[in-house]
Amino acid sequence: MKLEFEQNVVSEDLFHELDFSSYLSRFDLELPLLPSVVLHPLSRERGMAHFERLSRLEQKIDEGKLPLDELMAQSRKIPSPDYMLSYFESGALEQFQLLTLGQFVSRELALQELEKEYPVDEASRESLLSIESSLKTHTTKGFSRLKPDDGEEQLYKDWQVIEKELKTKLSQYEREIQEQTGLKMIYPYPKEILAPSSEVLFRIQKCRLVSAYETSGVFRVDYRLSEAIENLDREKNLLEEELEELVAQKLQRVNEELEPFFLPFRLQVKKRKHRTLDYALIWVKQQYGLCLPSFHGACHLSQAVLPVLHRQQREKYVPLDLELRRGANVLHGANMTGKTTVLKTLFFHLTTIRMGLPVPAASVSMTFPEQVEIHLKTAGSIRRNLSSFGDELHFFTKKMGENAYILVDELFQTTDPVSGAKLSSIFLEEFSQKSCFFFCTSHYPEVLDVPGIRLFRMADVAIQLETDHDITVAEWLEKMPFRIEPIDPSQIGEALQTEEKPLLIALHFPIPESIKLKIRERMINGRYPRKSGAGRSSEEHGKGNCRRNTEIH
Amino acid sequence: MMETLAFIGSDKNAGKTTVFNFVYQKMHAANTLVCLTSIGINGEPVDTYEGHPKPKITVYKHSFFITAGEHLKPHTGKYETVHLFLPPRFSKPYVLAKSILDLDLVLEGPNTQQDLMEMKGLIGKVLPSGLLLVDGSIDRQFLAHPSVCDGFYFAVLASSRKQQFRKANDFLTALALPVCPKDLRGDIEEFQTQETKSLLLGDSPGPIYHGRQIPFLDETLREAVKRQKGEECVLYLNGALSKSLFSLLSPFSTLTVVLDNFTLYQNVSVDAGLGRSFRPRLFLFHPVKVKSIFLNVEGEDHRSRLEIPPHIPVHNLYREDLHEIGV
Repeated sequence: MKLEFEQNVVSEDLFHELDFSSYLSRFDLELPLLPSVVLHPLSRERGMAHFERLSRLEQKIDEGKLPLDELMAQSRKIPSPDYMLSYFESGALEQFQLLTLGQFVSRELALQELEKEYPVDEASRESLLSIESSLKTHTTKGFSRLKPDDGEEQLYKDWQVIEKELKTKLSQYEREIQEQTGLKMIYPYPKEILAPSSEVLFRIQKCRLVSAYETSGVFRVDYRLSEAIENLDREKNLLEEELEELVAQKLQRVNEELEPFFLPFRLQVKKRKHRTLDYALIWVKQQYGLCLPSFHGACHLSQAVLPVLHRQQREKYVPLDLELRRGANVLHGANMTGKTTVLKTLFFHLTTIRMGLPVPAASVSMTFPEQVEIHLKTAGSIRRNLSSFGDELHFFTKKMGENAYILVDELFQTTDPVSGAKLSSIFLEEFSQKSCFFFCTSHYPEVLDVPGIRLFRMADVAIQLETDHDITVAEWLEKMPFRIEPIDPSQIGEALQTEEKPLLIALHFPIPESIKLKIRERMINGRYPRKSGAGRSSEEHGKGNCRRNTEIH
Repeated sequence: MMETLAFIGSDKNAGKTTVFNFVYQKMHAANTLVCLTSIGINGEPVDTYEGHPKPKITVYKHSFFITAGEHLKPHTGKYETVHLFLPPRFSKPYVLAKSILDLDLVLEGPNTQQDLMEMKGLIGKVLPSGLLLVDGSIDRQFLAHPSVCDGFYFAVLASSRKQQFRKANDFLTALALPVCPKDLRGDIEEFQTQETKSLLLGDSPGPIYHGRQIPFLDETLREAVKRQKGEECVLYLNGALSKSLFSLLSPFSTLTVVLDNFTLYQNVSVDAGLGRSFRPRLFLFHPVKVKSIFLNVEGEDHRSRLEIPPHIPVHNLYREDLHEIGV
């Protein structure tokens, strides 16, 4: 089962960056009935019903009423009848297609036995039993062969008798040719003789069992079959024709018998595909410890994982706990604390849920994400003739539904800081009155004063500038908690204190020494104690140990 | 994997189907369990030159075969379905079946290495001690890979017509090419990947050029080869040695050319004498496992003029005692 997202649900860059394909590959299961499934974004109603159905199914499994492993094993054996549906519908099933039909029906019925506590649909069972009964009447050896009736059986026997007789006569014929001409021939291969002696030629020409003619200097000897052999051959062909006619009539009868059951069969195939997908989703959920979201309250993610990052960081990875409410939510904080990663993790989960898949988290409860929009920092779009600022404004021209999730990275950092801060405040005021979920990151201290917004910050490393001056970027990141926490209104002042960390961070990169010198000079009150040699660059400490390298811009 | 033998013809009307039928007939008579299939569809119904019907493949009672479902309609009731290879994994439904009566059948099997390998895996389970006979084609290069075929029967048309005669000799030349020495093989294997179409190796530690596009269309490869004129180099090709490539490489006496397999030599069809002016040393990466060569001679016996590789059994189904021919 190959899962794919409908095109353009996620931009190509994000799809690649967040490695959705690797997540989807977890669902690559050997299920002939579902070779590939294209997932479409679900509407709120359908999405909620989908996950509710999955939850019910899992509950039945947990209660021991549905044996998931057995169901999966049986589902793996069900062939896809898609290729033969049009033949079935038009009453033109071929013999080999009866095997697919028979296997589907018998395995479907076996699955239904396992699903007694939670049936897919019992209405079609009678039709399936009728199909199975008809196939068992007309086929044998597990639907692989048409069952011959007495007349056909006799024809098979007669054919075999003639075939045997024909073989005997042909062997006798080959022996006679050898006796009369000296030529050892095997029917039907002709013989070519280069420059035969006159004696050989005489014997060949005299023999009535063969014909000979000269072509390009070679004598070619062909067979001149006796009337008895030709009669037997004719008789064999007649028997074959008779048999073909009888068998064709039988196949026609089988098709006529089956035709009334086509519609219930097709419906059952459709339902079985849905149920098989559900089993597969639950099976993968349980294999990977994923979770099914529930849909109540605002938006709460507990221990949510971004798989691509988890793979990179392994045990050092910090899952995300997040609670958003309707209106405006702002994540404030210093550089390299993981703000964009929070946004991307949330986007990954919202998209995955929107497409109907279980997610890598301990628990998720939210309003169903019928609409998910994300705006990440861009360099604008030459094609659309938009600067990065224009691109951001264009993003806000989209119609945002009342249950939409709107994620924006570094709100209005695309313009000058004064205008950016003003625009940020205006947009946040607007979204704080709306029922959708607006969640952005921002550096602007002005946004902290916007009324009615929910504020968050990334927990930061408490660096003692006087003692930790020699710390590298990698070491800094090692200490970073990567934890989101709400800002209490009484602590807004503290949130504003960045301790000039961006300046400090800059010192830890291998930028020219002349620039580093100026940075040190301009740090407030010359607090930074070292005049030279401070801030070992991450390069000096070796490469590849930087944790959130996507955050270093 | 089950043992697989393929049948290849040097030319149209080389007698490939006749050889296929003969070998199969012999095996059937010896009670060898076989499964028959074809790469793509097997042959045209009519002789290209003379217009008379070409031999069909007769599947004997109790033999196994793989063909596309569309060819089974006339044979309803005469076979038993064993397994189905279905879309979308396969381009169309292919049926593994066992015949109940003798069938004059159109065989149409897989067209790709991946499909054939998957089918082989399944047949191997049904017939663990059986043999797979494949009606092959010279332009399906994957057949030459050692994981695909364990041996080949070649049908060679020995005609008095000049072009056909040259074609037969080119074909035989390819079969006679020596296998590349072990150390050279190791050098190539070091850099070879699934996508490799050409490798130019010299004294430097890495390849001088690693091509991933069809060699005769690869301009960069041509330039790289030209720059190495006079240097000892090895050129590995996993794509047809076309006429133009053959001409380009002909003067390079310090070059060693290693063709991945014998099928890559087939497009050369060199003009008389041109073959002899080819100065690079020529090797095969994968040896050809020839079971037998079957000659279909038009007119007088041209065998003495053909460059038949030594130590390979050569037969003529029309001029020898068929009882004496072992398969």
